[in-house]
Amino acid sequence: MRWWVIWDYREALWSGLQLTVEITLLTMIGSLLLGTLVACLRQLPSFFIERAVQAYVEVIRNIPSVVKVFFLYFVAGLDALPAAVLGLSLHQSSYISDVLDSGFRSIPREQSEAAWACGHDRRQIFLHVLLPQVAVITLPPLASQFIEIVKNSAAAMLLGIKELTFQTQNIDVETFRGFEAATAVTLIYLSLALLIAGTMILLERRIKWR
Amino acid sequence: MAVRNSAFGSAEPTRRDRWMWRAAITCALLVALLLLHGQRWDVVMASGPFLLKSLGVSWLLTLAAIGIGLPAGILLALLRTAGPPPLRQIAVGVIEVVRATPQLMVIFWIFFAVPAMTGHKVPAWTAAIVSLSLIAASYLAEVVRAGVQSVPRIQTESGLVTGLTRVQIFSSIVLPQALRNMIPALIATLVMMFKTTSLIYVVGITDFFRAVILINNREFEPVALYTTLAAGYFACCWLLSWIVRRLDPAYVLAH
Amino acid sequence: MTGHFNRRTALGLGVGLSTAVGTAATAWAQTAVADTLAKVKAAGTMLAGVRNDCPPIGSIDTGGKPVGFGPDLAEAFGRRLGVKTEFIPTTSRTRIPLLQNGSIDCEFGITTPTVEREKTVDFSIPYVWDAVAIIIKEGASRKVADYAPPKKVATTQGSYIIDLFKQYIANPDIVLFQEYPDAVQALRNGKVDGVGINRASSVAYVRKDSGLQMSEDMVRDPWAIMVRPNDSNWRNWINHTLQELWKDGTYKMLWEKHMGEAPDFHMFSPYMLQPGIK
Repeated sequence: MRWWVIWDYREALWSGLQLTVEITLLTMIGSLLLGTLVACLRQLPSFFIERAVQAYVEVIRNIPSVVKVFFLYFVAGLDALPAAVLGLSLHQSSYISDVLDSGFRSIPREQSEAAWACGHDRRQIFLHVLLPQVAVITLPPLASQFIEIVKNSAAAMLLGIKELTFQTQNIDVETFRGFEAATAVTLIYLSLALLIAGTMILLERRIKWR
Repeated sequence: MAVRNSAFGSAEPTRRDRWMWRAAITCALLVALLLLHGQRWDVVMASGPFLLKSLGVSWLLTLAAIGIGLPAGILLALLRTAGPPPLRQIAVGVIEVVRATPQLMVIFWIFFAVPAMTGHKVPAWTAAIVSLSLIAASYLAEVVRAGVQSVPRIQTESGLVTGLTRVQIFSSIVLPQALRNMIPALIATLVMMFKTTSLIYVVGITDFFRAVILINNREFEPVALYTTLAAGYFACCWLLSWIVRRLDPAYVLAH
Repeated sequence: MTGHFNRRTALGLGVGLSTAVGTAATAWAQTAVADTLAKVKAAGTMLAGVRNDCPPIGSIDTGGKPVGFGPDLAEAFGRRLGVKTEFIPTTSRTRIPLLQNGSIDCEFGITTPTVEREKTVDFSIPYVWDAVAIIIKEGASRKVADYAPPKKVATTQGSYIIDLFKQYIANPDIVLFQEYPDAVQALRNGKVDGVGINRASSVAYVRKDSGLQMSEDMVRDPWAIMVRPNDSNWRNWINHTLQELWKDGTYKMLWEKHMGEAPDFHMFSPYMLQPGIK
């Protein structure tokens, strides 16, 4: 086994890692914003909105993320990075909105009713009563969603973005050391996943202590 | 479909709501038809039989993977939670290694590396089904484990106190509740398996995703073909989740 | 936390397993001395690797059957030996592993013999000489040297065209896609300024879109039939049959059928594997 071949490609792998992290961070922000918006909308007492959100979640979830990314880049004509981030954010936002929705549902209705009776309007109830609690409750499942984002970021490779999976394939193509490359990259992705999981646990402890 | 009570009050559908929804759906469909009208659908229709055949391949692989992976996954989950220590470590090892490895690599290993080690050639279909079942079993093992662990232990303990055997407790008390609790995760995993079958092109089998890519290579009509890809996947994944939801006892009770 | 411990065990297992497997794989792949000719004759079937994604060298018809110059040529080879020809789809990524694990006996694709590839597989004499050029928009400059940065040129990952292009332009800005239609679509959308591609594959795209044209040719790029290493009987038979098919006109007939014109290169003349050596 020629592991030193991986060492030769360390710069390529490093730049691929940088791009993967960039895409992951941007997608995390995008999907969180979009997912929160959709989950908040879903709390409103309107049949129409409920159905619309359900349709959104079903459509977005059942179409592979790769197809969305293809459409945004090749058909809609966005640039590579925006297309990748937007496509992946859309995809993950449907899952995140479900996670946040179950978080909302677990908060007793009495709290929002009491706040309503005290004269707060909807926006204030969301910001000060519901969202803080939802944020804490849903940190563990959000962590798994973020790890999913790390794995799905490989879709960016199809738009020519030279991220980590692309660089792995490059090593395979140039040196035929596919096994070594795959093992090395699996380790890197696993470290990213562990990093995210660890960060979320730290965050959870910090918030709980408040 | 029951409308649940939200944090801001109940939402009983009024007639106006229902009509607004139907109007919105019709508008959306009309807009979609308008946008897609000018595309080269004749290209898609000409390759129709090929697309349907490859869609059948995708379905076959998914069902085979789930058919073998679900019992195997349940077995792995049981070994992991209640097995003797050496078997438990093996089960943990298999589940974690397969889940950590990129799925394409799992297929590569089984199709290319195993024959290299044993000297026997592995036929493409065997490798495809074995690797997909392995992936399905690992992910489903975790889903089953989470479902079983979500049933409060007090039920097992009460069952033991009343004199039921462990097997009776598991099959009559724990398993039905576990199955109901894990329906959402189960649907998500099954849909993921359907999308994972798109990786099988490396062993030489043409699935639906690959078929669309190949037709695009020949005809170069990305809009029509990628739309077909999206529509096909949407229909199949939605159908898959609908089937599983129908099997959910809670759903059946509510309707 | 048990979860973390299990992941670390998994990592260790994964690394150990892959080392063992990879060593075994590379060892087996390189020490086997195959006699494919005997095997093919005994089995009555020749397993030919063909491309599904490179018209007109290899693609699929509306029914999903492999068609193109590669499959037709492979079938001609099979008929010479008196065996059936079975087609296995290959991609740039899987062609060498499929050859190594015995799923195919030979590959009739678009593989250029390179020094790096020669370490793991063997090649026949070149069976196609094709020109490499850039697809560009109508009205753009046809000189390859004009496509230096900030202009972007696209091609597919792993293609020999990347190295070729670097010989013309010192530090090119190359965008790599997974498939050629994606690269051409990016050109149409204005994301890149050119697509590096073989002339044979470019014909379909340029014909379809009047807004595209070809630049001047870069060097010629040879393709060869890939076979397993250390298998002289099989390789010799392929080289000889290739030249015989050229001599009796089958090759030229198939080429014209798929490319629309006569081949503008020569196969080495029969029974001469290298020019000047009888």
